[in-house]
Formats: sequence, C-alpha cells, structure tokens
Amino acid sequence: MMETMDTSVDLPGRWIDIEKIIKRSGPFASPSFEPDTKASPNIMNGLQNDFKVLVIGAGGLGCEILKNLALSGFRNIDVIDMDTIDVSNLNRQFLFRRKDVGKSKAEVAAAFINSRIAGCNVTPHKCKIQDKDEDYYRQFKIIIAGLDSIEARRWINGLLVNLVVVNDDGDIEPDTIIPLVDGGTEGFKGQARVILPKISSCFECSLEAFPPQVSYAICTIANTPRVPEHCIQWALLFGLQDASLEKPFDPKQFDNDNPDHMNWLFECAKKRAEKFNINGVTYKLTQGVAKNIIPAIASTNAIIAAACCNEVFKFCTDSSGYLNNYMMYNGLNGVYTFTFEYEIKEGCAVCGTNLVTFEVDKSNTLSTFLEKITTDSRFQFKKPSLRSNGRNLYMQGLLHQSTVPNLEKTLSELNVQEDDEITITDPALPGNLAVRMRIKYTS
Amino acid sequence: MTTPTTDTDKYDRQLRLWGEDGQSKLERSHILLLNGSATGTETLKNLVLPGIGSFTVVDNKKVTESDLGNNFFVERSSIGKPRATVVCELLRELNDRVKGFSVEECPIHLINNNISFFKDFSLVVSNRLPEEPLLTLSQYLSEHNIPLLITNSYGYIGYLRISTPEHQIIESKPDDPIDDLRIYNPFKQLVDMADALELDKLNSQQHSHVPYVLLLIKFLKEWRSTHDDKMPETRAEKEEFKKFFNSHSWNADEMNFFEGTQNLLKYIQPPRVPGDVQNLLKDPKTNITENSDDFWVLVAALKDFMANNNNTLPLHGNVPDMTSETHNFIQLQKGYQEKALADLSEFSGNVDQILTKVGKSSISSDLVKKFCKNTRFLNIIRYRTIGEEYSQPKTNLIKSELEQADTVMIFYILLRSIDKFYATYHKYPGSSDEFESDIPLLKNVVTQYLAEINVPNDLVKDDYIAEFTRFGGSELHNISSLMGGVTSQEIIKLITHQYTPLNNTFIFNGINSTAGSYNL
Repeated sequence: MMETMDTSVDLPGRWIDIEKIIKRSGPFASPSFEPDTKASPNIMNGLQNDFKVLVIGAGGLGCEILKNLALSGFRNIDVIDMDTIDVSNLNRQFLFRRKDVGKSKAEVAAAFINSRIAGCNVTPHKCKIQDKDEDYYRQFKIIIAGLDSIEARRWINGLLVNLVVVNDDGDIEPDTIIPLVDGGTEGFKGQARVILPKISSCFECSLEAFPPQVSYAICTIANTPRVPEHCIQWALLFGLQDASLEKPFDPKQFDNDNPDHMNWLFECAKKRAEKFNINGVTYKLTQGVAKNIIPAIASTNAIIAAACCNEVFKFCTDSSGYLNNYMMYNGLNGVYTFTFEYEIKEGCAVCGTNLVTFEVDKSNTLSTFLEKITTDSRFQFKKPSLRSNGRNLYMQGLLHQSTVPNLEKTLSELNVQEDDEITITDPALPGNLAVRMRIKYTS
Repeated sequence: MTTPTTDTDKYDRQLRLWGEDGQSKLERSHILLLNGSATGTETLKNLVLPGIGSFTVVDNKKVTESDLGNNFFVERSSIGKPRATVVCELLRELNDRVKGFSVEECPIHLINNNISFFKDFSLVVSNRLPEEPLLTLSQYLSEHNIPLLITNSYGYIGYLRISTPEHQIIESKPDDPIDDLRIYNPFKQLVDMADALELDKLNSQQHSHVPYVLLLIKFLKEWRSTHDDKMPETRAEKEEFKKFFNSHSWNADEMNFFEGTQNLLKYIQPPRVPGDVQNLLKDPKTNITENSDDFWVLVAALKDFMANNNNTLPLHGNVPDMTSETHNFIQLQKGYQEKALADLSEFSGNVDQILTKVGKSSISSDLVKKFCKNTRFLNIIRYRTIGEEYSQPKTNLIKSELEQADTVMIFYILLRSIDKFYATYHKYPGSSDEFESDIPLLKNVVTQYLAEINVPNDLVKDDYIAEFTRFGGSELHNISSLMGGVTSQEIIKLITHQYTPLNNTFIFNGINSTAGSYNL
C-alpha cells in the first residue's frame, strides 16, 4: 500500500494549522519574524529542508519528541540511543511493541515515525553520544535531549558550550550557538528548559537542581541494617563478593537485567533481612534498589516533551515568544508549573570562570573535606582527585595508595592555606575540565 | 481483582506510583472521547498505554489532509475514512489489552437526541464542543456523577476544565509528608521505651545509636519537669530546648543527636489535624443514612474514633529510617506498628457500629485499613459546574488576576470569547485567509463578554485579540500533545482516586511556557 503512494510531495492543506502561525504576523512573534508568503516560504523550507534536528534518547521522552517534531513539520531528524527495548518501556514508549523487545530503540523508533508520518526522514544511530565528534554535532540547528542520565547531559552540554566561537573582539559568533533543549521526568514531575550555550545558564550551572542519588552509609549496611533497602544494598555490595555464598552465575558478570541474577540477589537480601528481623524485602523492591528504578508514565513524558518541542518549533520559526529558561512541572497536587530564569552560576566549571569559593573548618581532615565536596549537590562528583600547590592531596588510580595517608591529615597540615586553590578532577566532569576551589577557613 | 502477572513487567514503572489497586481501577474504566482531534487522541494515547479498560471515540468527521499535519493516529491512506474508526484502530495498537470502540456520529447530535448514551461511561472527555451542547452534557453528567473534562488546544494556548460533583480522595500522596511519630504526644509504649533508657550506662557506640525519637521524648519529659510541665512553645523556649537536648550529646559526631536536632522543630509542636480533614469531619454528609456511601461511613467512624482519642487521628505506623542499632530500631518499629494495629482495630469497631446502626452491609477490610492508614491525607473536591461558572462568574477573582502582569487569565477571557464568537458566526475567528477582518468582530465579542461578567474592558489588550485571530482555530500538535498529557494525568488521578486532581481550570500559555490554575 504505502510503496505505491508518492509521499515526496505534501498533500495540499496538510500543514494548514502550522501555516496559520507561520504565514501571519503576530504581536508576540520575535522581531526577526517574517511571515511566509507564497513566493517565499522560507520558514516552511527551513522546517522541511534546511534544518537538521538532533534528538538524544529514544526512550519515554524521545518517542514523544520524535512524534512532535515530525508533526511540527520537521523532516530531517537524527536520533541517538544506544539502548535496546525492554518490556518495562512499553507502558509509555509508544513507538515500540512486544515484538520489538531486544531491538535498538533508535532504529525501531525511526522506522515507526518514517512509516507513519509521510515525508519524514528520521536517521537512527545506535551508539553512545560520546562516539560522535564535534563535526557531527555542528550540523544541527538545535538539539533536544530526553535523557535519564545526568552524566550524558553534562557531556553534551559541555560539548555545545565548547562549540561556541568567540571572535577576536570577544564577541560570540551567533552561528556557532546550537541551543540545547533539555527535558527530564520522574513520576508525576518534570522539567523543560532551554540552554543557549554561553548566553544563558548551562546544564552544569544547575546541577544542584538534581539531588544526588540516595546513598546509604557503608557501616550501616555492614553492621546495623534497619530497612529492607539496607539488606538489598548488602547483597549488592557484600553478598555478591562473598565467595562462600553459592551463586548460579559468575559474580563478575552480574547483570541487572537477568532475572536469574536478580532472583539470587532477592534471595540473598531476604536471608540477610530474616537474620535481622527486618520485614519488607520484595522482588520488586530489590529490582528498584538494584537498578535504581525511577517511576515513569506516559502523561508526564508527553507534557515535558511537548513543552520542549514547542520551544524548538518557536526557535526555528521565530513565530512567538520563548521560554526563559526553565519550567518546572509537578502534577501530584493539582497541576503546578513554575517558570523562571535559571541564572548563570558564578564560577561554573563549563560556561563560567570555573572558580568557586568553598568554606571549611580549619580542623577538618581531608577525609571530611572529601565527604563534604562529594555530597555537595552543586558538583556531583563521583571519584574526585585533588591537587593543591603542585602536590597530590588525594588521587584515584595508580597514585591512590600513596595519597591514602593524607586522608587523616587536616587541610592545614597538608599546607593548604586560606585562599589557596584546590584543583579537582573527576570522571563526572565533561571533557578535561577541572573545578578550582578557593579555600576559606571558618574558624 | 489483580493485574495478570504477564503485565506486571510491562506496567512496572507505573505500578510503583499507583499500585495494583490504582491499576485495577484503571482497568475497570471506560473513557469516552468526543472528537478524535489531535488533543483528543493524544489524551487517549496516554491512557491506552497504561491500560485503561476501554475507550470509545465519538466523531462524525472524515479524515482530511489537515489531520495528517497534526494527528499521529491517522495515516495517509486514511484520508476520506471515518476519523472515529481510524483513530480507534491506531490507538488500539498501543495496547492489546485495551478495548476500543468507535461511534460515527456527531457529538452534538448525540447530546441533543440520545443523552442517555453517556450514562455508562466512567468519564467523558470533550474537545471543541460548542457552548450550548456542552452545557447540556455537563448538566447530565453532573446528575449522573460522571466526571467531565473539557480539553482544548487553540494556537499556542491550552485549556483544561474538570467538573464532577464530588471527588473523594483517600490517598492524596503528598510530596513530603511529615511522619506521624507522636513525639509531642507519645503513646504508652513509646513513653515506656524512653523511660527505660539508661544513657549513662551505655558505651559510646550504643550511646550514638539510640534512635533520636526516643531521645527527644526522653529529654522533652525532663525539660518539662523543670518548666511547670509545659512544652517548649515560644521560639526562645524551643532554642533553649535545642541547647538542652544537645548538651546530652557526648561528642559532635553522634548522628542520632544530629538527626534529633534536625527534626526537633518539626516534631515539637502540637499535632494538627489537616484543614482538609477538619472540613470533612464537619461535613453534613457525616450524618450517615442507609444511602451514604462507604467513604462517608468511614469519615463518620473517624469522627467517633477521634472523639474517644483526644481528637487524635489513628496512627499510620510508619517509622522512617534513623541512626540506630538494628535491634532497637526493630523494637521501635514494632511499638509503632502495634499501636497502629490497635488503632485500626478500634477504628474498625467504630465502622461496624455505624453500619449496624443504619443497617448497611459491611465495608471490605482492605478499604477500612487503607482509609485508617491515610486519614491524614483524606480530601474531597466538590467542583463548580460549568453552568455555575458561566452563569455566576467569579468576577473578583478574574479582575484581580487580570490586574497582574503576565497572567494567563487573559487567555481565559479570550477562550470564552472564542466560544461566543463561534456561537454567533459558526466559525473560529481567523479561520479563513482574510483573517484580519475578524479582529474587530472578535473585539466586539470580547467587549460584550467583559461587560457581561462585569470586568473593565481595558484589562484585555488588543494584542491578545490579534493573536487569537491569527491562531484561526489552529491545533498545533505540540500544544495538543501537552494538553493530552495534562488531561490524561488528571484522568488517572480521578479514576484511581489517588493524588489530588486539578480544581478546576488549567491554562497553558505556549508563547512563553507559563501556566496557571484557577478555581472558576
């Protein structure tokens, strides 16, 4: 059926709704808005031919974003996702069916959109975003991210900020700015934002809006478990390593998605809980803790993806105002939204001077200092290495052992004086960036 | 009724929010959609995916070219076919457990000629329905206790209105509820546990692992013994107590004292019955007759329970994790759970008494238990009807909102005026190519409407009239999809009776991505 139809030319009247917006001037349109005319349909040409748009993530948000872009008139769309389809995606990722489980998300999503929306041309890439180089990203008019990983968002944000060229006069070359529209959801909550690299606050500026993952103190897990989560963590951290516990698999190959492995983990956590009289270890909770499952539903994804794509459409058509620059959404109690301007963070490691002032007590040991900076939601470090005055204070990797004795020393014993800088590198920081911390002593 | 095991994997990410109980309510629901437009199908998409029981689409239109430009649930080969059938078919593909039906009829015709058609649905979603049939439908649904959601997208603007006579919520699931720990008013087991503490006999490991709840109870008692048996009330007294509490810590590293200090202000105030619950207790519906529904029987029983328990709600029984040795924490947890069980048993007695008195059949013990655990989170919403909104407009609210800068209330005025424009001219302003000639016509309608509701004319700037005429009744997919998301989310809340739905109007302004909710 489909093959016999000529889809290269649009049916007349197909885009009549969009045309009302792009062919008519309006009081809230951008000053540079020039309505399309029959003789010069520049905006429609842009949507259909000139603009390439990149969608990062073909999951809950990604499926919605692809549909929304295709029905906003865009035709040249790339989508990147390294994941394959899981059965638990099917309650919201509407481009996938049971028969698709195990296949590439990017490929199935692209094929679905291309067959449903005549004329649309989605190109899938089953890979990591890090596999593509700067030249690849430079071809896009705008990028939309529907990711669940903070790390991936930090990476693409860092890259897009880097792509901005500042000329010899210190002026930003506008053509080098590729906006990043970023969405995220969790249960009934979400946020949509627009990042104009080097112009408005970037993703790194707002890291503290994302609370660090719940972590339990190791000694609680090892010695004084109280809640089922502690027992599950024990199974993950200690049970798996314990050679005396029999396992039907190689513990080095532990796989979250393997039901046999998960079942072993559940039984192990259950035994631990029974030993301590703790109730409430269930298979579902075990899965939730082990995989760090975040609840996700179709409706929230629809709301956030639509808010993002509306911004993309307006940016590409100049036909209206814009989101400045962050919209929070919460649907638990009524329908609550809050739109505000997220400010550029002073000393942002990516788009700013990259120098922050950090207050510590003079008596604090390096170990305490380390704990303070790793739990500080502004930075979200994973495995930080610290240097100061040309000296290694605390290192990961090969030099780790040699710096462990420093942990018990105070900062001043390590020759860190007031106003000295500590340079911190961390795998979570995009690119080869380092955070510089200027130390202020409080007492 | 439980979810078949084959679907628990598929539904895992949502079951973690609304549970088996919410899911089974969804699976028993039948949702009706009037008009298979983009906004309508996007709403249904987000309901078919999580697995409602069934849906029906009423639409007499044929699929046209413009549907291909904004509706995902049509294909190029569908042009000329009935839209109801086409969208129903493509929506059903999303979930093989959901039944879909289509009715090729004009919604207005159905309302005017066969209104009893509507009585068998769990909930009705209307889209782009003119004012007059909408009022008829709304009144009928209201009489039959069926929720109505009106959802529209119009250019860059989205609108949702909910109406249902009374919506009962047992699990409002607030974001960050304060745990009911009874530190201010401890029950006997707690007092005994606190009294039994001999802190000076503990080693430092044990001392730093006494649960802070017991520490607070113990030191509050000590503090009161030197303060005329009074609780710390003023700010100064609370600060003094904080110092007193901390003076018993052996060193700055004791996490239990740290947690106690962190939580102290939250827990040393008299327990308050939430305002929403107080209103429920005062409601005339707590006078139970044989016609009362289960919810009100339970509220009446709660009233009896509180009368016997010093105006205190039944204990939830949940204890959050806190620094403690395992054994002590489990003991503490047991204390709370035993008290919660005792409260439940007393509450069940209250329920039975009422049922016997009015001769009603019993209420399932699961429901009694759920209610008893959630008494702090109860709520009802009684919505204003559409008829009330139109005939008795909230002039003061509208006026004061319109006086604010950047209010989305302005779009309410425009949307109402569009409906009136449609009633007069049988088209949306700006729907034809010579759109500018509609601007003065729409302005007249706006002026007339503002006069009707007693709002000064100068509160609506001409720019908005021009913008709405520019929209020309267009449905942009993004706005439709956003409103479909909001609408489906509210439907899930209404069907599951969990979380708190919107009361009663939501307006989204896609021009700069702002929004507002009003009770109109």
